[in-house]
Amino acid sequence: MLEFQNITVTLGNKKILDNVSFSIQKGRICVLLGKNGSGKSTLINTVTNAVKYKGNVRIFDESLRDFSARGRAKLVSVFPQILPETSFTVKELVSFGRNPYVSSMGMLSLYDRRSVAEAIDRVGISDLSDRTVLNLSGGERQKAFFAMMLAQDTPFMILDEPSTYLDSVSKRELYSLVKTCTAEYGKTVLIVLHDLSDVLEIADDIAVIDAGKLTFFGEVKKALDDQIIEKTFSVRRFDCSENGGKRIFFA
Amino acid sequence: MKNKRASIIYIVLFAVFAGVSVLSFFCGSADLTFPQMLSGILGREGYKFERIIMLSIRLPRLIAAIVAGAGLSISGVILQSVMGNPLASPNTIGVNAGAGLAIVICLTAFPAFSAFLPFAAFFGAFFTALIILFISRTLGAGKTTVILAGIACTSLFGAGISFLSILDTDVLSTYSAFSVGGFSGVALSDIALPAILVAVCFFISVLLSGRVAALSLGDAVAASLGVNVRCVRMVCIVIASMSAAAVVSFSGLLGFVGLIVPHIARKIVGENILKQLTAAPIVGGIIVILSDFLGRSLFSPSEISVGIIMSFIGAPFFFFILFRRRKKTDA
Repeated sequence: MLEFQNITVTLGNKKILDNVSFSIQKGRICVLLGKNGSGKSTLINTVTNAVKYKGNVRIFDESLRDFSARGRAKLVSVFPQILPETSFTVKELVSFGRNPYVSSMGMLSLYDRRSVAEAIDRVGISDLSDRTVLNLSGGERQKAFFAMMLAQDTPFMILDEPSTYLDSVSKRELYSLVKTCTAEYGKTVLIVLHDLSDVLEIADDIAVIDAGKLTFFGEVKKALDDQIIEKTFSVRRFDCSENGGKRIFFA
Repeated sequence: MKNKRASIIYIVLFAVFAGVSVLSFFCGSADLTFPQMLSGILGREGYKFERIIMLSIRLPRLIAAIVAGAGLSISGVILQSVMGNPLASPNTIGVNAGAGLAIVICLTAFPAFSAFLPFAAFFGAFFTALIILFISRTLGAGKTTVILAGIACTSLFGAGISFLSILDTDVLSTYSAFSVGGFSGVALSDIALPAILVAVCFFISVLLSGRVAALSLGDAVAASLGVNVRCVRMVCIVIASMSAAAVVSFSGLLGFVGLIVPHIARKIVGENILKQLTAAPIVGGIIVILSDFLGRSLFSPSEISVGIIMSFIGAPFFFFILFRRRKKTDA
């Protein structure tokens, strides 16, 4: 279980997060929603200790503050909102995922190399292995960073807007991969999304932050019943039929 | 296949390194034949002059060139990685000038304590690196601002060096050679401690290479990969400063090595920091030995300081990097 307990972050005189508390059960995907500047990325930064905060982030009933940087990285992997420009090849980049498990020199064991190859293969970018990340398209780059997360092999995964540059096919592939991570490997996922119509495709639970405060946390069905998305983002809901099934859009 | 390629690269680098070392050791302005040089090295009777030339002048210069090339290259690779800036080097961020000012202060205030010059240089370099780090972290300065701050520090410390040189005429006499950088009159005893410091820095940087590489992806990503960002960055800046300062203490303000060598090493071995850290000292050694050799040979018996030769090579290379970056940005 990933648990945020009374998280408060203050920058200067401004409260960026105000007493935010919710917990994500093992094997579930929680989508974190909020307008720009609502405090979503700040909440994610508490997990890597990148911001000073009051309260507690707990994993397996242990405070994350009690773990070393390496110990934390063995528990939680983070997909960054801004992907760094780097001249490493895809294989070298994905190898960084093994960083918490290898010596400070970064020498990979046979097992590490196999994990890297598997991660690249699972994301479907084996043909890009030796390409420089700098020369990849936005979508390919996001897949490479997602492969790095897979190589890190943590029970908790946090993704900050991972589908920004992806086309609709690549988005579906990514969401499918995330679902596989939870269904087959029991991973717990917190994911920040901006495209509201995508939320229902992937979420088990929804957390909504507005102006630094948690305004809703619960299952998708309850969010739909209570019209949480409509109220928070001032959008309308459209129910459409698609391939014999039902699809919900917000616009 | 890749391992084979890497092995070939290192074999070629070592062969070139050995070649230029032999060339520098056996060729010079003194008109000596090979048997004479050999007799001098072996200490045969009647070859005292040759012995002095070979073992007291050329050998210390050769070792000084190797240590200087290695030390500044290691410093450059580390600084460029931890600052995420390809223009960072001990020279461009003012670390060399900081070390220089500390040395001049030490020479002026405590002339009897010349044995402590490497330590004074280290504190000067470290203090400068901390200023630059403070500017880049606290003020959220961009990559260009870091370089501009380095230029400002270099100017400020340069003015300090000039000012102290005017006050103390003894310092003034050595300042000119010191500011350009060179190995004229260097003795083995001057290089011993700096060589040990550079070796220590090399081993620590190799041990930390995995963390340094992760740091080059940015603080947020490095932290999520389990790197203690502040600690690793601080250790890296300490060793980069120590390595550059150790060199400055006997060679003066030798410019451009720490800037151009990491780029050449990256071109040869790729982005892998461990490979860069192992290749850069060899490449740095080759370039400084060659520059020193050219400086001694081109206008023999007059000598051009290695710092001048390095500037002739380094400045155009600096422009090349700027133009290439501009092209990339435009693309």
